[in-house]
Amino acid sequence: MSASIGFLCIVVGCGGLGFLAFSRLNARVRLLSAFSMLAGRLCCEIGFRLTPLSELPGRLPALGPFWDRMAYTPYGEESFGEAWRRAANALDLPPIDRALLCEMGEVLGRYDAESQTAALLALRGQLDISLGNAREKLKASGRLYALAGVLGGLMLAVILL
Amino acid sequence: MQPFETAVRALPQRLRAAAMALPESVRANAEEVRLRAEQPLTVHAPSAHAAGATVDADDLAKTLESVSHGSLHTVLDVLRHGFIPLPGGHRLGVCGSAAMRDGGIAHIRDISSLCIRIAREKKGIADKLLPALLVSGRLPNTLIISPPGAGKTTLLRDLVRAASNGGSRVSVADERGEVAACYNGLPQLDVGRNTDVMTGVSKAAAAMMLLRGMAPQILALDEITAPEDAAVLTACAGCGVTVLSTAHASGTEDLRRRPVYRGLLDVFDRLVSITGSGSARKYDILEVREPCLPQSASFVSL
Repeated sequence: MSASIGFLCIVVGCGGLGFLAFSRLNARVRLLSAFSMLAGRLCCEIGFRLTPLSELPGRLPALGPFWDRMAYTPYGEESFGEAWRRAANALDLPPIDRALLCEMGEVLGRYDAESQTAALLALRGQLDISLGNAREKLKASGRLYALAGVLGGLMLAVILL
Repeated sequence: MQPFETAVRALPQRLRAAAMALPESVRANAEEVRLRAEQPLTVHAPSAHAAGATVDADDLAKTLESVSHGSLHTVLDVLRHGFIPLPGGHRLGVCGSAAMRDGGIAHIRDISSLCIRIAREKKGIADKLLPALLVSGRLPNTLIISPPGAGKTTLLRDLVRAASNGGSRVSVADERGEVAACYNGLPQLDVGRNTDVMTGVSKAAAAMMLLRGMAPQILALDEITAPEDAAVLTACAGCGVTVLSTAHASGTEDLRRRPVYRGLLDVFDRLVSITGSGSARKYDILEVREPCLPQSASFVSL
């Protein structure tokens, strides 16, 4: 009986690790896709409406807990760029993607509307490249990770038991 | 919240605390808060009082970040004029290195000093003046003149408020936000219940937009300085609208000597000359010509 429970635990544990890797790849695709769309909307808001950044969370799509984590207040001690960097660095993304998002925070609110729009479009291009890579990786390796987790668990359980 | 408290809200916490630690008498009479790099924070009330904190370059940058809500693109146009309007009608004057582009100021960087000018309304100064200005119950075209700093804008604002609350439709072409100090679409200074304010656009363009769109009975423009402002005033006066305006001048002769204003003497019926220093002011009404009032508009009856 205890051997069966142990067997099950190993299979479920290893399978869970595989699914975790799969869901991280999936989350990366979703986040990059959301930030790419956000960059497009930011161009419109800043370039056309000259919207103050403090109004963005209410006007733009939800980015999971990103806006809440930023918690930017106009008269606070933290600048918008600092708050954005802090929130971007807390995202579960590879360093290369986080660096891109931090770069976006460096641009926002610091220049005139035209310069910000140009920089955001360039960053959106880079985000789209990263998004393409993430989608390919998800397609190529996502299910493999999940399957490898379950199979690896089975193998480990057989060997151990 | 007191005017001083709202004015220093834009400062970083350290400087705000130092400013709020000044005696109540200083805070109540404060006219300006001055921030200069590597100098103590100073409050003028009207004599200078140093607060117990030294300003550094980071404080200046953070203050600018704070007042723009982290969004420089929203204040660049007004920053090019040298100041940013703040909530409560206060103003943040900015000094630093100007970055030029296409012959104009693109931005002010390397901020070296900031000055918060604290707005205080003086309501009621028009109450005595207005009955003396009215002709057959109607307000004639009136130009307020004085040297700089004598209170032309304050009087114009109070005349606008009184006329508006008296029932007239008043429009204000407030190019630099000095009359109504609009912030997020709301006038921060009382300009009356029936007043429409167009801000952020040149006086000449705003006056024509207001004339077409808001059908004012009284049109107010602050500080006539350019020929196009004078031209638009002449055009508006010809449309049956009463015009109220201000100009830097010491008297009628001073106006006659300057080409921009010379033609305006045919537009205005009354001049209000402000003289005095400190808190004392004297208002003289000078008749330019017999008022030629429009027949179609009805005006304040106070």
